[in-house]
Amino acid sequence: MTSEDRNDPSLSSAAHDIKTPLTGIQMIVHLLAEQKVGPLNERQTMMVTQAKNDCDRLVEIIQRHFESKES
Amino acid sequence: MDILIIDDEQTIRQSIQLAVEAEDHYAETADSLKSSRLRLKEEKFDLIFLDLRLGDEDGLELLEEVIKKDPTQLVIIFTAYASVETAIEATRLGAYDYLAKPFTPGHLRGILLKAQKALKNREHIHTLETTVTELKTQADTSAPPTRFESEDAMMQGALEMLFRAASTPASILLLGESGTGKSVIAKAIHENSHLKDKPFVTVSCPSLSKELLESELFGHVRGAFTGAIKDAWGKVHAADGGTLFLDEIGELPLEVQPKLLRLLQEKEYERLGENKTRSGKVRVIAATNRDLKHMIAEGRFREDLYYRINVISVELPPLRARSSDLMNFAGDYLTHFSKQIGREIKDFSEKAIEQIRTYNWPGNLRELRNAIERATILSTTPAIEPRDLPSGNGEQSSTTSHIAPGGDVSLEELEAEHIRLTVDRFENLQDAARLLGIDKATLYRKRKKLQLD
Repeated sequence: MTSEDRNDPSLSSAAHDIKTPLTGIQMIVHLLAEQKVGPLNERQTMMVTQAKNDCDRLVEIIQRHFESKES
Repeated sequence: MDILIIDDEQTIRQSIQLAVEAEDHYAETADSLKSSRLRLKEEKFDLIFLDLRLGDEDGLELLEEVIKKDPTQLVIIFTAYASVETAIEATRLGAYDYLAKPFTPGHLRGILLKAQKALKNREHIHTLETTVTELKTQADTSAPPTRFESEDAMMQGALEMLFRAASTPASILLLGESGTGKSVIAKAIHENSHLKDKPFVTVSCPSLSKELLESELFGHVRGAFTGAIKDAWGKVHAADGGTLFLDEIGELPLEVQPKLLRLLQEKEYERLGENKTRSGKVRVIAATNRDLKHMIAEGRFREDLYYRINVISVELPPLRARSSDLMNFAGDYLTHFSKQIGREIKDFSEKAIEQIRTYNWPGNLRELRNAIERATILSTTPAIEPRDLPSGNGEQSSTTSHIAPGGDVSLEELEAEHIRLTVDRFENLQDAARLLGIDKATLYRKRKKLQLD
């Protein structure tokens, strides 16, 4: 994001509003998948791994979106 | 590390706390600038994670405040604006690094490792600075080499026990008159121990007031007392993992003794003005010329602390009881000082040797060292003569040369000499009387009768 974009309140706010909850989701899904909050059974592991992969994919899409705004 | 996580989003705070704690760090959270300021006023954190935007509040405002208060504070900024510009701005204001949102526990672990390494480097630099200061002090005082061999049986036994205990974690208590080399031996114990690559830190107990001594030992936070203008770590922190040498522990104020005991027993302490309990692991070597048992009886020294520091206790004999070592020390000092001032003085005359041997050296090695340094400077001949030695040395030798048990001496002369020497050793008559096995009033009468006042 360029300095002009950052000064654009709507874009700046959108970046913060999207990336902030996404951080919480990504952190929690990763911690679950790493079994840092407790052990998972095989089925739970599979589901959490899928959620993690989808979340990572969503992060990539959003980052690409904001990068395209920069260019 | 002790970490403070500042973010207005509960999910982020909790998930970061969980990730950080999973890496064996301690973490607390705050959700606003106001609550952060309160926590930061009370505690010192090794690392702060700070969101750039907390609702309507600006994280950079707090960053500026924190860095202004302590420029070494590690702060990592979270930002949703992952541009070079944001990073430069935060770094310019003193942030250690930044983390772009969204991030994963993996990103967090990477930055934690980096911060931990930076912290360790800082501690390493601090240790090196302490070592350089100590070495500079040693160089300035131009200390002569230390002799750890002894021909005296009592000293041999003491040294053997000390060097055997050196490699254990046991606390060591060195007893002995002033000038018997307790500090030098404490350092030698450290250098012969498994902690030799860790810090050796000395605290001189009598040189400071109660408050300053407590701060010197445990550190303080800003505002803990008048003159505490910034946070400071104490010598317990500086010595962490190494040896803490408490010189003249008999002078340790009674109010500070429970805190030292807690450090030794629980390995815990708090800085002055701070509630947070910190851990400190040090091996303690203590030294004193006081009779601690007598101080316990008088209520001036805690019995539990005494037993804690007295795991291995060694009494270093006074120099007058080490006649077989005396000329070896004198020779070492002569070699050192003549080399230092560029003089070719290689020996002592027969009369000078006799004078050195017959003097009682109440100031022990320190006095001998000073006497030989003075003699080396004043001497105009290839060998030290009696006239080069301090006059007190010569005068005393003439009175003491024949006063020794079994010599041509009356009981009264022997008693007078023994009382005079004993009184010289102690700071007060009470302690001298106790050693002599008489009460203070009897000592007073005897001194008057023998004209020793």
